[in-house]
Amino acid sequence: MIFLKKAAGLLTWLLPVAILVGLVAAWELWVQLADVPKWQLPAPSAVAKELGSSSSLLWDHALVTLQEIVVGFLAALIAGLVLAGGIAYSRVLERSVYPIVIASQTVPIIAIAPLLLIWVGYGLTPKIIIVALICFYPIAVNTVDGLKATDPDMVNMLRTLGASRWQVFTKLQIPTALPFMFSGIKIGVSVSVIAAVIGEWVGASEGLGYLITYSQPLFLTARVFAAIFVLSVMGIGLFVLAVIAERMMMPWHFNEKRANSMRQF
Amino acid sequence: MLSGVDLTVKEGEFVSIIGPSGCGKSTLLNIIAGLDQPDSGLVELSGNAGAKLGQTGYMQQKDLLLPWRSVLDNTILGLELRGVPRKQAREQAMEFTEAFGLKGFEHQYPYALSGGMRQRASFLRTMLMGQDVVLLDEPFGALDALTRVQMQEWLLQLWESLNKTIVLITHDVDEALLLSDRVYLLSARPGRATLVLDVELPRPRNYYMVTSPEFSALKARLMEPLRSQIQSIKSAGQSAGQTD
Amino acid sequence: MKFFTKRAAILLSLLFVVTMLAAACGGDSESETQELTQVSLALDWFPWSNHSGLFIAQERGYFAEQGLEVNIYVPGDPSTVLQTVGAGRDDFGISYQPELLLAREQGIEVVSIMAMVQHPLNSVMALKESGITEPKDLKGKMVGAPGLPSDEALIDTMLRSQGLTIDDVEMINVGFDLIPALISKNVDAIVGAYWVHESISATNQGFELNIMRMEENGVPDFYELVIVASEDKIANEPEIVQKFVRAVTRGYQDAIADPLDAVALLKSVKPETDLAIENPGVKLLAPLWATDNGVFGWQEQSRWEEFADWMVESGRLSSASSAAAAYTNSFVEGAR
Repeated sequence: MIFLKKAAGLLTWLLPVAILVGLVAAWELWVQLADVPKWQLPAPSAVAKELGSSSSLLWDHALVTLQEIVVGFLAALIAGLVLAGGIAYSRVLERSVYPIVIASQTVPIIAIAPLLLIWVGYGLTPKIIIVALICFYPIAVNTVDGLKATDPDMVNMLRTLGASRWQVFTKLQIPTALPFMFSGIKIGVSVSVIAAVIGEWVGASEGLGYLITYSQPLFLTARVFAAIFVLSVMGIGLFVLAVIAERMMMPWHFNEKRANSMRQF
Repeated sequence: MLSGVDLTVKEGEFVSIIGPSGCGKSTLLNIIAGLDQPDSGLVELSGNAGAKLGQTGYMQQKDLLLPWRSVLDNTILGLELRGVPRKQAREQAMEFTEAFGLKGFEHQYPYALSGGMRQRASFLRTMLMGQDVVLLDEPFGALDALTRVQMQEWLLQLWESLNKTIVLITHDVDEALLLSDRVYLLSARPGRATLVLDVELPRPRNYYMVTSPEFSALKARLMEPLRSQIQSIKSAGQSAGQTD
Repeated sequence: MKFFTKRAAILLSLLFVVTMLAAACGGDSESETQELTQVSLALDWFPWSNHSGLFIAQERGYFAEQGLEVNIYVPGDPSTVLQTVGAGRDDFGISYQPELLLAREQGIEVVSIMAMVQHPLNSVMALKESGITEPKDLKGKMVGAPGLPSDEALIDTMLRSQGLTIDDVEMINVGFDLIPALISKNVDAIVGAYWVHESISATNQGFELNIMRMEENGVPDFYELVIVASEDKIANEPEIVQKFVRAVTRGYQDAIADPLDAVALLKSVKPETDLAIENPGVKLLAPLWATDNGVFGWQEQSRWEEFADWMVESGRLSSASSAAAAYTNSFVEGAR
């Protein structure tokens, strides 16, 4: 029985890896057989070679983009949580601030980005602002939902124990909101990479987004793909970090889920 | 919903309220606890008029344990809200974990406990607040029949040792008779006390009394008006096209 | 379940009727254009005075006369024009001389069939009040650029002609909003803007500019914009290419004869055109359209070879050997 379970566990890993390898192999074959020019679609082997030969270039630019993402995301986290807390705690704030929060997302970043450059100057700051602007929204909205998802019976229970409004907020609403907050964080992390690239598109001298814009007119498509690959790895890595943080901060949540799913057997 | 309920409970008594659903039993407890305000009439606790939040202990049907706190930390929740330092509160609670059947589970999370244990943890949380009056809203309703019997016997013992005044809501006639000194039967729409029954069974009580002839006689006196109420609700419901 | 399938049936039949109606209505215009060959032309930028000859050819029926219907459009990303033409997705495109040479080196088989502008439009600009009149005045200053590789090489050569290099200036990537960066004094000078176009928006707002022309500062004279087609198309459909060139030439002859009228036509087709910029601009641009003997589209071999040599010297191109094959005058000749 244990052997079967272990084999099943291995299979859940093996299958997606096999599918990925299959896709890459199919891509390689297609480029070779159809003789696709390297400036149109480079073969995976060409991209891999480029990753090796331009590794230091990619690394240097990746660090810059990573910096923009991390600082921007932290700013988004603080702003998003503070906003969410305010909106959930005060009706007045909710009615005045929430519509602005939503409107902030309808303004196309492509239009704002050049203006930001003129207002704030060049360098990392405008990119950080763009990352923060794009990422704070899912964090704020999901956290607000979480803060409002409190069980009214629990609120009554706390009130009978003599809790004040603030105590209800800190001891009940905030912990209830944690799973929601992490949903927002995971979404925010996923779009942070794209946000940084957009920020770099419109005026940068460093970063992977800049490298892509610079390499395209030179028809170095393999390098473009290599940069995209590094960006994907970055995005996945950040997501995994968020999941780890989630597991660490909400141990009861996952143990409960695991316990419930095991009971089904 | 409620119209004219006269409830008098002496210190140290155990009183049950029984009645069909929708007759306002929970509302009554809410008023006593201070969660709701009555349109007319007043509440007097230990000679003080008006019911403020936090004056009575209140235990609801759902255990309402915070899933992100350990069992021990859940029980000290009320003390924490009052400002008692955690360490001190934990020590206080630890003295009772054995009596409440939670020994060894103090540092587990609620999901790992059985239904009965969770109810006892919720009980301990209420008890630690030290109020003289404790309100229980169908505390054993969600438990299976066997656990319920266990819990009823445990509650009897606890009440006898702690000397609290308890008001219990239940739909279980046996439970009401077994535990209480007095049973109030509430009618539905409007909620009124239609019968007040003194339970003259000797204390300390145990579960074997349930089959005694005295018990059956008391039960019969309760069942009659109870059944007629249920019938009238049924017919009223059918004519109005509602379900309860 | 029954209700669902009833709804689905109604929806499907509605869809069917609508599609039939659309096909019936659309059918008329389709039959009209059966005789004209559809070709696409990818522009280098949003429509401006330099494109007026193309729109004249479209509006005055020169394309239709040649049996062509041309879809003139602005691609989302101008840097992809050579790739879409090379891949056969576009029939013709407007691009740049340096990019064309780079593309050919990477294996993209595109050829310049006409020069749209006989000299560079790209230039270095500074506010008159800054006192920067020559490249050597840029030492230690901040220069804004769009962040594309070409501009860096160009300004480097301009600086070298006066003893400096690009390391003597601070290059700042300001995206495509060059004039706003200059006017707001976020940078001391800019490169990458056209002296017949962007400069006008500055002077219109009351800012006087010093303009440093590339060909006067050490850069070989080059064709700012060229029209390209793929080698495949030239080999397999030369008649189409010839007809295209013929119609475009006629359009530009009209434009050269009356530039303001050309811009007026552009405005009628593209209402978003800003006449305050295009009218003064076209007066500067029109003399650059044709060679000194009035031939539109002509390309000199020496220009291509010298420019390729320059690109090799500045490290942007590995070899200048394919320069001669990068262009052709055969179609311009055939249109005369």
